[in-house]
Amino acid sequence: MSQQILPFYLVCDESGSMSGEPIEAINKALPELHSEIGSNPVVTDKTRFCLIGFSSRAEILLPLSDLSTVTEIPALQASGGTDYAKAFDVLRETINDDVNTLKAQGHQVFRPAVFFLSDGLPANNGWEGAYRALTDPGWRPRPNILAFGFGQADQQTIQQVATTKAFMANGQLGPAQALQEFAKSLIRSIVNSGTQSASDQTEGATLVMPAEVPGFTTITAEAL
Amino acid sequence: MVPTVRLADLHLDEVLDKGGQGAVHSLADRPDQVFKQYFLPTADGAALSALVGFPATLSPGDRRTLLESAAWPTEIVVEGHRTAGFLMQRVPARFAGRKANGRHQLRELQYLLFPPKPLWGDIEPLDVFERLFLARRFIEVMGVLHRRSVVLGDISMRNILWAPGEPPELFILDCDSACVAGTVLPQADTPDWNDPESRTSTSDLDSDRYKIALTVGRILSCDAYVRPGTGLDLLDGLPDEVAAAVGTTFARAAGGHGTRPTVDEWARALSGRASIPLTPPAPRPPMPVLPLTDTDRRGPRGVIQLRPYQR
Ligand SMILES: Nc1ncnc2c1ncn2[C@@H]1O[C@H](COP(=O)(O)OP(=O)(O)OP(=O)(O)O)[C@@H](O)[C@H]1O
Repeated sequence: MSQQILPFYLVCDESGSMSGEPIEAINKALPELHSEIGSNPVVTDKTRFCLIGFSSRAEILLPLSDLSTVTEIPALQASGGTDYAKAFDVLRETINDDVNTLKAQGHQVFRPAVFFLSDGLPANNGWEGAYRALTDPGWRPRPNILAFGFGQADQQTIQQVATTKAFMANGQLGPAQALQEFAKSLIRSIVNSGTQSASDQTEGATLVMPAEVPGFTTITAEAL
Repeated sequence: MVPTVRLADLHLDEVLDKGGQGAVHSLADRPDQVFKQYFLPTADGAALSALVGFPATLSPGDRRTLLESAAWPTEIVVEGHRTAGFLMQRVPARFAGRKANGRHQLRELQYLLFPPKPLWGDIEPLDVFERLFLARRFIEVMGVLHRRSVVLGDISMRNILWAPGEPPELFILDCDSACVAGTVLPQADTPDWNDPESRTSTSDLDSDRYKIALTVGRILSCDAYVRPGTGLDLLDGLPDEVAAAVGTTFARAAGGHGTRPTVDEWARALSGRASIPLTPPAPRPPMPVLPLTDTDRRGPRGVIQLRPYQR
């Protein structure tokens, strides 16, 4: 049956600095995400989820999937540097393929939502080109990007990565707790978007974004 | 005066959940009730009072039907002069299941509209006869409301709960969007559960009737998106008379306002009873317009004997 689909991409920094508590917090949140979304039939039906891990390279850990049919997810594992360009290249390519595949299956696809999480400065400044390609106004499936920074992340960089909203960990919560809150806000955003996505073809889908996330300060996105 | 309690006198426990319009709290000293606290300070206290007062106007049987199967507002909660929210019955435990990860999950109608998944845990969809029973119960509750022109409003796959059992049971949430006269807050519609004909954002009996058709049709077809006007693929095993009557009744809901099947028509369709078409009496042929002669020639009056007063 033809469906309306809102794809979500979690793009997660798994560079060396994420090792220990932070990476464990995200890994622990993944089963929760899977169960909350996969056990909600309407949300499952209208959303898809993809997990990308990046460090010195970027890897699709879970291809865009209906979470109710997934039985395992590869864990994030910290090592290496922080290459944003690799992450954005892989993201653009997979979004392009995914949207084409979904459309070929007869689905109507809404603008993808990206939750981008990083704790560090990109290793080099060569990511601007990859970013511009990803957010190119001439490229129809360009995603809405929400960027979350914590640890050593640079606020300005996080603001530049975000297209709609940026969040900076403010130190009020420890890294594990802050990342738990991050995961919760991702889950809530998927559940609420899935239940509120309009059925009427003309109305489009609503990406329900977190207004605020405990442990993070909301800042507006900044144009590059 | 409808039952009223001050916010300061409540012992708020934890926030069970939040919706679009308010947060639902459990209460430390009232295990069977919950408090819905509105986010906005603009709730219409008069309309909410009317809802709280409504069950008292019902016959005992109807009152039982409503209060057993709906989280109807039963007490107003005030903070100074402001309406802060209301108390209602807490969802009984049997209306919740356990998901595969052990978490508590309300058995929302949506679990009857999709093929089951292992992640749903012990939430196992009802069979076709149980579904028929549930649909009848839903119509019964809606009958209590509609026969008194009370509009429920936000009828959807998340606001209707069910519990397995013999017979299965029904519980309706979000009843504060109902209106006896005026509305409590602007009506909320759930996507895929909107009345396409309704131009305003308010509900009326007709938009309820459309959503009743969605509810019954979707329960009996296990299809989350089917709408009147498209083919209704009913589950196998329904009695033939029921299937036929549901099919035609569902299709009629595609019509405009004023033509949609009423709760009574749904009750008949689901009962499986054949209905007897009645031929309306032939209209009288028109009479010629001629002057009328006096016929009132009264004869002499008689006398009625009355019994004298007994002392
Ligand atoms: N009587 C109740 N007992 C226990 N939990 C309840 C009760 N009523 C509501 N809830 C919980 O609170 C949530 C929100 O309630 P409700 O649907 O009434 O809020 P709302 O603000 O009208 O939300 P929406 O308009 O988004 O449906 C429900 O999804 C349910 O989980």
